[in-house]
Amino acid sequence: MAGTEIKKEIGKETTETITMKPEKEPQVNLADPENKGIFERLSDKAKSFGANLYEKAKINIVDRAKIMYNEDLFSWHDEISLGVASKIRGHDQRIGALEKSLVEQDRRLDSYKKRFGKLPPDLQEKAYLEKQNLERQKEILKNQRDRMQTQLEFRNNKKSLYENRRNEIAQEVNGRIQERFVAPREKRIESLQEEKGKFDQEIYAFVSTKTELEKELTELKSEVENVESDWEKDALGRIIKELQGELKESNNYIKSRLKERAAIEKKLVKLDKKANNWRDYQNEFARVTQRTSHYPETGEKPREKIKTERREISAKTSGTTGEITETKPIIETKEEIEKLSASDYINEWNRYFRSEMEIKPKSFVEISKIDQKEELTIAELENLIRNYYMAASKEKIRPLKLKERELEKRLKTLRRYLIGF
Amino acid sequence: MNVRDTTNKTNDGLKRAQDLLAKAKKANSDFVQKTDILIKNINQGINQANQELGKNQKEFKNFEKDSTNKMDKAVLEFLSEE
Repeated sequence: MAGTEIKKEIGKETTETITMKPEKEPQVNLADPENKGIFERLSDKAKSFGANLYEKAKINIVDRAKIMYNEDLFSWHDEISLGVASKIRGHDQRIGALEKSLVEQDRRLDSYKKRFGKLPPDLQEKAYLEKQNLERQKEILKNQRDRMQTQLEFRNNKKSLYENRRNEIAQEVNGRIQERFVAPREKRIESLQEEKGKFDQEIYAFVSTKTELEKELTELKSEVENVESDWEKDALGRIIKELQGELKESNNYIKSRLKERAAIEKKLVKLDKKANNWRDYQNEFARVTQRTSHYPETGEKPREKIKTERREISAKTSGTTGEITETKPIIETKEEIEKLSASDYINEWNRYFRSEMEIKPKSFVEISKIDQKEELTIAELENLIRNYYMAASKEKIRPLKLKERELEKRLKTLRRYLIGF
Repeated sequence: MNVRDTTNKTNDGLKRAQDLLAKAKKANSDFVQKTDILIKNINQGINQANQELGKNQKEFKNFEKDSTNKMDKAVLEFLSEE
């Protein structure tokens, strides 16, 4: 594919031309023409990204589910969201600076008026134009900020929509596998096992009848010895012989039925194995969809909320009136510097990772032996979370199986979310 | 023991032997009949189940195709900026 020329507009002021060549020729095995169409309309970067995701996937539900639940998909939007969020922060700072300038200009004008009286008309005009210019710049920045905010919300909505759609598909597929493939096979095998059970019972009952008959035959034989009349002895002897023949036949029947039984068992095992393939497939699918359903919403939308919340926390803790003049978020940079109360951190954790990974503040405080209002650095809080999970899994406080690597991943995600680092 | 008693005893023995023989014959015949039906039913059930599995394989291929298309569509729409 040839390099594509993209004109990228930044704000309204600059226009630059970027020549983008996809990293590799996309090779995506998409069976559906409609999907191929969507793929073709993707940006080159998205195509490359998609091609990487689909590189080794087969037309196979489990493989596709792995793609659908791939964490990188969220990262794709997160990377873009992070960029937009950072621009929004930049705009917020610029808007804040402009607002400060406006206030400062008013203050200086007032001060001038108090000391020297009214401004000459030409200077009044100049001051008015200056103020108007600042207002216009602020308006432009605010408009740009709104557009970026919309972009951010679009991306977050997209993630929510995708998550819902993904779960819908997973449920639908799982339900259909169960309904059409697993359940009927299991029902059929169950009914065959029942029939086989009846067959077994018949064999056991017959073996027991035969044993009884043999016992009676033995008794009969001993009685023959006491019969005096020869003809009667003969008559009994003939019946006994016939009876022995029947019992011999019984043995043959048992042997042949046991052979049949073994053959049936073999067939049932084979059938069960085939049916189990559906079950295994269903389980494999379910594992993919459950394993990755823990992934959090990594959207930047909450980042905006966070900024407000942090300001509120700061206002309370510093004892000011709560008036915020700066748009700069309180939590800015590194985890070694930025502080947050344990309870706020736990709230963020729970809000971010939802109920599946919920940390109960009470047990966290008990295990960590800290005051939940105590402000700690993000790094310290992360260590407490590590200890908490270690202790919680040892003491079986909650049946959470979170591998160290996964825990680190989540800590990093939350860190990025809180302090953008 | 008199002659009459001995005769009765012998007759009882014969009767018991004949009953036993009849019982054995019936047990054999019942067993064969019942188990024949059960074996037939089980084998038929197994054959049907195997046939259904074959049909299901075809159905599953279609289902798999539809499902993967749906999944692909969700992923691609998620990646698109539309």
